[in-house]
Amino acid sequence: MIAEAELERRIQELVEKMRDQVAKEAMSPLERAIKTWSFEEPDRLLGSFAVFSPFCLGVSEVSTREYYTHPLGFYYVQALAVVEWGNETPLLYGDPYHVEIEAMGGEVEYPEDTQPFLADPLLKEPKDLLKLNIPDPQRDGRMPVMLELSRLHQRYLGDMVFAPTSCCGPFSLAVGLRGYETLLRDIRRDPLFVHELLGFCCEVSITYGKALLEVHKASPTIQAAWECLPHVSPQIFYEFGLPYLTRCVEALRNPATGMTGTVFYGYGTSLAPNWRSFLRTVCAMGMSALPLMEEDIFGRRGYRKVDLAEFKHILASMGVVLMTFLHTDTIMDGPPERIRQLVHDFFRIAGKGGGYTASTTLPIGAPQENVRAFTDAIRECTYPIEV
Amino acid sequence: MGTDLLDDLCTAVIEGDEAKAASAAQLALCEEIAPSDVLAAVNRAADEIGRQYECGEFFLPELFAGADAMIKVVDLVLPELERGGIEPKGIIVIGTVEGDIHDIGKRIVSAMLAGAGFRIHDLGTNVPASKFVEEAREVNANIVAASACFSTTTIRLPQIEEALCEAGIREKVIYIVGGAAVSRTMVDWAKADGYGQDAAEAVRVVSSLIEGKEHS
Repeated sequence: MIAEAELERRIQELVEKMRDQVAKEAMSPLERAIKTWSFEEPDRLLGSFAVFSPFCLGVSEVSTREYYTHPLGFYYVQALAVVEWGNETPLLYGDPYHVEIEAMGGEVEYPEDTQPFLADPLLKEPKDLLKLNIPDPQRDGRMPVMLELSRLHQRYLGDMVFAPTSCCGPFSLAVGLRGYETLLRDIRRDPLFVHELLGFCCEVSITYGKALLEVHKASPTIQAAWECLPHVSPQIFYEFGLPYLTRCVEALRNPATGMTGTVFYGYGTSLAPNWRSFLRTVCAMGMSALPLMEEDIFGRRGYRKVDLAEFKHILASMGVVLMTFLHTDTIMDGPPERIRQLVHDFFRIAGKGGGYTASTTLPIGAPQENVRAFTDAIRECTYPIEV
Repeated sequence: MGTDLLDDLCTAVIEGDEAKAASAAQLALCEEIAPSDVLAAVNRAADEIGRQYECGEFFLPELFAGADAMIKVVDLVLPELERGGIEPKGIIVIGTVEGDIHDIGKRIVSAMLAGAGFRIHDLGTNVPASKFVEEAREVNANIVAASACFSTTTIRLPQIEEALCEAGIREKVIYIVGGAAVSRTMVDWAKADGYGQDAAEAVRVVSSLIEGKEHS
């Protein structure tokens, strides 16, 4: 465990280094993000990688447990990723599907060498829903830790880099509370209970999301992986996912800017019977940005294919920023030239007019040359795009 | 009559109607239809569910509903098969590795393998390597299947193989791996004998490895 004073000192050192880096570029990552989100072309592509525990295990002295539970330890790792590794969109959240549940009394285990996980679903029986209360973001579980991360960001890198906060989407929260298979059975056997549960989950997400918005001054990202195909069918999504997500997106709109947050609804659009129409329906939720995974572009791992140019066109026409994500296999297997090529290819296809960012996740043991290839390629992708 | 009943059973499994599937299976057994024929109908349904999933007509909820119905029927048929002295195609110990609580894919794989005539011992999630070994010994398994869905937990896969070696039972068992964080290129690294990207492939791989082992 690194002492708090030492962590503060190291973060401060990183901030100063970051100021030097920003001074050498035409724009700060924050300015780049603002341009990108306004559908204007910045100086170059905005890039990011999702930093979870695997990264801190590899490059910092912060243990996985500290990373997830200690705000300064967490922020130090994120700052390290920004300054030393070129991540331009750090995250102010670690395990986005557990925070609300833990705050409601769910037991989360923190192993030393992997991601935290929920010990048991909190709702063993539907009637247990009556025992649950909306958590208090200022008091319960790790919610205060997440709020503190926003304050730390404002103190340190906030004027140079945008970093999103996050809350859980209602359906994904219901999956965490009840268990995925059980929730599917509930949908078959007791759909009224599921609607009641989702109504409750909506209130939880909105309460926590508003607390984040108030401190962070930007709408949180809403995590919605469990609402994605093929976890649910389009029919289930339309009835049990979409209406509740839409309610959250609207409730968490930033009153100062009118902007909404990203909805991390990033998988399986290619699996919809008519992906274009499905995508338009998803975008009608009114989110500001939507991810697209490499597997949906190339039809890998059981997914089909969407056309990247058309995907971007649909999103841009609805004012939604596109965030592509390279697959973990790609960043693991490389080689660096392929990673570089993919970043360039996606940029050429989707980058025109702004509204586009490139991302990847970092699995444990990802070769450093592959991570460098990704961040170097981001810097090579400059505007205007050469055809 | 028998064919109609088995068709009804097959349809009920495809539609994920547990109660209808169970009652059709019970009726079939009362009508003295061979338990192996009932299982064949389940297998036919599993193939159809797999086909509809692959061509995008079904999603995971339909797979789970089908799996629930399959498990109901298999539970009814297994004791009858045993009474008739019919051996399962193989005995499988399956689980999600230590530190990982993903259950979805493994449950579907288990149901599909059960429907294909394998006996399943599902250890659940967060299973240490020693538990895979202990159970494989206990039930005299000839297949051990491990799933990992976090990139951080894939390191458990070669550890299970090492534990099987240390226990002196590696030669006896086929070791297969799968899960969201596992790819085909990791088979050698995990020291596994095979990999299934999805449930349908897992059934094909296990069946062909078992056949290969029997003929070797």
